[in-house]
Amino acid sequence: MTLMTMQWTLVVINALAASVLVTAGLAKMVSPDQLLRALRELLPGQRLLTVGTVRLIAVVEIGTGCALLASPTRTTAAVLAAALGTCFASLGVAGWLRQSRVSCGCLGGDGDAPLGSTSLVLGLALMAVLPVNDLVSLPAAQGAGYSRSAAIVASLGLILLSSMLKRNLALHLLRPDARRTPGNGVS
Amino acid sequence: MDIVFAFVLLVLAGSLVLLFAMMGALASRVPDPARPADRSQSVRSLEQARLGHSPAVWPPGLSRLASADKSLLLVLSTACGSCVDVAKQLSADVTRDRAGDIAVVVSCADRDAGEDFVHRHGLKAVAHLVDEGGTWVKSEFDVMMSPTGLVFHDGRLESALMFADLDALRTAAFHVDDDLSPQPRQEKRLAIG
Repeated sequence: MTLMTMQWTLVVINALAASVLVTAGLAKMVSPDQLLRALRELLPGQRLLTVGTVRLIAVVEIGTGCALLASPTRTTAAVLAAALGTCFASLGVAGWLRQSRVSCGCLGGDGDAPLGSTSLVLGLALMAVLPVNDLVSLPAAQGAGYSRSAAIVASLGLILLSSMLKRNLALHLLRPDARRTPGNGVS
Repeated sequence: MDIVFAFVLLVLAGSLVLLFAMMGALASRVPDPARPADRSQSVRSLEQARLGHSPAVWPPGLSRLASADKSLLLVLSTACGSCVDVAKQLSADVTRDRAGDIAVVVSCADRDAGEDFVHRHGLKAVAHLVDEGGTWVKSEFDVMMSPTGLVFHDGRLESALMFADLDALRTAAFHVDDDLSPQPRQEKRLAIG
């Protein structure tokens, strides 16, 4: 693989990871209740599980996502992303073992799958960010270029991911008969 | 300059995601006209249903029920008024991405009426079967009442429940307890969906 290809691979992987982390973080900031329910199903009686805890996780996710896009902080952020990925994968395994049925709200889609295989796959994908960042070195002169490209790719990723997650709501609002018919609204 | 532009773009994209998330949260809090407060929450067992039965061959639209750990099949009819109400509840859940692992059998006099029912209530996104004359559901499960919820475990009919409220049916079918309180009605539905 040429140096250029490796650097673009790094940009795309980090930007995609950042898109997932920022989308998940923003969703949890707005409505933390769904993840809270899913976590309480797995860990009943755990007093540390509060809305504040979920919002703290959301802040860490958003911070990690943004830090992945900046050249000086990307390696530290990759460690954090891998740590978050480990947590998600562990929760996925726990949800799978406990046959969790409560939608996890991890990415903000109300119909998110319960903690299980999806969380495990997402967690493993985030864990992969660390070895990729360790393997690919970035010349100092290309730091600004990396940040610029990663920010643009991440912006695209954010919009695409969000559109995909909220497609039913968006399609419903765009459907002409939905606007005309009372009782068949978004509510 | 380019890097400033890139990060402004990122902030704009983030704002859009935030807006989407807030719209989703808002949509879940608006009272649902399709769910009147006085709808009966009672769920009753249908005694004559053939419990434990598993169809030898599943219709193509419902084949995934055969292998699902636990699934729910709604039996609706084009001729029943409360089925229209149930279809609206399901349609609202589909819109909100909350339908979950659910499938529908539409019992009807003829295929056109069944297809029209599915189209009119936005159920195309849900796994469904248009059952002319209700022959399939009657011959396989001896179910002739609608709306009825058929709960399957590993493809076998575990219970048949008559219902009016989809949330009440889900709670009865899956026994999901929501220990978060107090929560508005729509928020509670999230846990069940």
